[in-house]
Amino acid sequence: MRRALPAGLAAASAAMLAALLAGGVPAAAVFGLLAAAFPVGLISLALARRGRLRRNALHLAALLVLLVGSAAAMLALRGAGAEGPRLAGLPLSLAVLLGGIWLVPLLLTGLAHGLTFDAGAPGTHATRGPAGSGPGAPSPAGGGAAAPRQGPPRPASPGR
Amino acid sequence: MPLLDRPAAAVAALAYLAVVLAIGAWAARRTRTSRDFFIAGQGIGLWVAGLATTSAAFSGFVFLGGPGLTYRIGASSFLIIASTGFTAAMLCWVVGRPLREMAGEAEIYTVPDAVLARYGSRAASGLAAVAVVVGTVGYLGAQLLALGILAETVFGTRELLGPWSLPAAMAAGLAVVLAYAVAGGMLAGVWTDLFQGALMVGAAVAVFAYALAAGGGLGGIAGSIAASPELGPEFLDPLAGVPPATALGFFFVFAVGTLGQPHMLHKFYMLDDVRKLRWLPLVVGGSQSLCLLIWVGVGLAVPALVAAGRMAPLANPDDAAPAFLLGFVPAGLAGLVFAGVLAAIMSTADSFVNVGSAALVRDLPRALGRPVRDELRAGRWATVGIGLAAALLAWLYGDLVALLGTFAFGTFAAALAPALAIGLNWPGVTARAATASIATGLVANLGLELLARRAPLPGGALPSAVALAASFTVLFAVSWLGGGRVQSRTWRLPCTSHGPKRGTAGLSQNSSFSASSPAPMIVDSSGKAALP
Repeated sequence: MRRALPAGLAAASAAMLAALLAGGVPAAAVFGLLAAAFPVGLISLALARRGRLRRNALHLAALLVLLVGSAAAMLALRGAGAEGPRLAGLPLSLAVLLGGIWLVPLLLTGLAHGLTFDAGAPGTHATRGPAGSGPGAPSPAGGGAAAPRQGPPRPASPGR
Repeated sequence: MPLLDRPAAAVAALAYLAVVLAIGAWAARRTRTSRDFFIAGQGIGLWVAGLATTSAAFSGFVFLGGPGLTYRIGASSFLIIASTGFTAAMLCWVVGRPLREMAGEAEIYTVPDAVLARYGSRAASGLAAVAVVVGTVGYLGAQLLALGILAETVFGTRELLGPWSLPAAMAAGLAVVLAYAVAGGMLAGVWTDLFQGALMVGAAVAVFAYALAAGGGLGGIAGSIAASPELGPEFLDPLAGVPPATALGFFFVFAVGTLGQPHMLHKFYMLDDVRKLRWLPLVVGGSQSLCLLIWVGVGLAVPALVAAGRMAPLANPDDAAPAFLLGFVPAGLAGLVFAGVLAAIMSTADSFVNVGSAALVRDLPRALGRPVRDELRAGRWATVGIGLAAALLAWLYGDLVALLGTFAFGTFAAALAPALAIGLNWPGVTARAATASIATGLVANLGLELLARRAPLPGGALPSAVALAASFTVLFAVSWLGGGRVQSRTWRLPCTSHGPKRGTAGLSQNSSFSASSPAPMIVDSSGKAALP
């Protein structure tokens, strides 16, 4: 997964760039669907880095379905006009935008972050260090597993 | 009729200004070090950080530019704000936690500091600082433009001063922003942000209620707009008001680009305890969503009222919010709301002058190997310089507040988001890749913006979206194909009181970093890692 996620994000970035440069509604639709999935990919990368991807898999899957599904629905409903379906007095495409991308994800991600938060997890953020040494050093070809955790977890408060 | 001709409104607005100045004066007495000035002494909690983040993020762009943009392009503008549903949690997961941990273990005040710590590259850090300065001038310019429009409404200067009304109003606003930013720095900014954030939430909810009442509820508003020959149902279609590539580009830039906004990332450095990140997304996301009700409410109500013939068509879309407040909200509440909008503008402007001054007096000189001796004094002079540059840009820009804000947001997004979001979570990103990505984002955003002002990009693509996608693509491509050392791996920055350190080469409390490291970090006598 640690190799697949960067590769997937790289492919999505290149595809979005190509779609934007191509122009046209079909290319914009491809861009829109990838743009909706991209934030979930970034979150997955961060959680995988901390070894917490599996614990959040359900939330992330739900978020992916919400965002991509909402984008797809808006694209499908584009140009439905006054006769199109309505929800709470609003055209369905606008209701999908406000509900599926804004309000439901607000609760979903806010609660997921709070409920799965681990204050004791050590700070394993990627930062600079000497090249190519030690267990788990990534290969220049990309990816690379993180080194196993060592040492006691850092206390949550820096004590200042 | 100017707002200040209404006593209740004038009292509310003046009371707000008095409180802000009092907070600034109080904070100035507590600002003794550059640490206080730039990151508020790293001692703020959940609610302060949450409301301050909201307050710093939301500004004249949201409260004046948002309804104005909706008036011009319809519901497509909501793709800018809809991502608020998940961006707060995404911020915490992707960059907030790593940045907070880095700030707790090393002397990191700014985004370029974090770039230097992550990549060990002065070139990457210096370019990040340039991006921060460019984006800051643009964003601050948008705030001053909004401030000028607001002040024109409050003081009724348009009739008195004619073409000099807007510059004069912007100059007055700039003077107030500089007064407390120069005096109190970020400590003043954070505490005024708390007050302003709370005021903004209350004001937005109240205005939303009045907007719904004036328009006859969501159904009534939608009906009026759909029945209008000028607007029609397309106005309410999120992908019809502008080309789909533009609308979806708004979503991409404002969702993913949030990860590169220094004024929001700064707040993570200030948290006094990493555990307070736990519920921060709910506080930030909730307060932001409440504030955004003003964009949705006024943005939809004003066109509906115009369509129904209850309001005259607007000559300038940015007048949507002021015109609604003057015509459909009681005077006392209107004064409070104007103060709230003023709060939003001032807090964001204040955050930006501090972020920009930090880039100018800390990050750029360090990247050039010439650190400034007295950062506190230089920071105050830089604050004045950035404010004046932004005022000049705002005066010369001549378009909607939201469009200037989108350019500035896009600058930060394209230049900084890839290097931070990917680089802090994937060790495979090289310093060369980060440098190339930041340069690509900065140049592409500026260049495409200039091109797009002459002729639209293919399919109506948003310049910032193209620049952001290009910046990500370059980051990955150079990491894999561009050679250079993969400098990063899982490694912990030094602990001040705990060992052992992670990895085979780490900082010890009284020694310098590994000699093989390209930009060694030094640990001072207190065990605090300091950037070289």
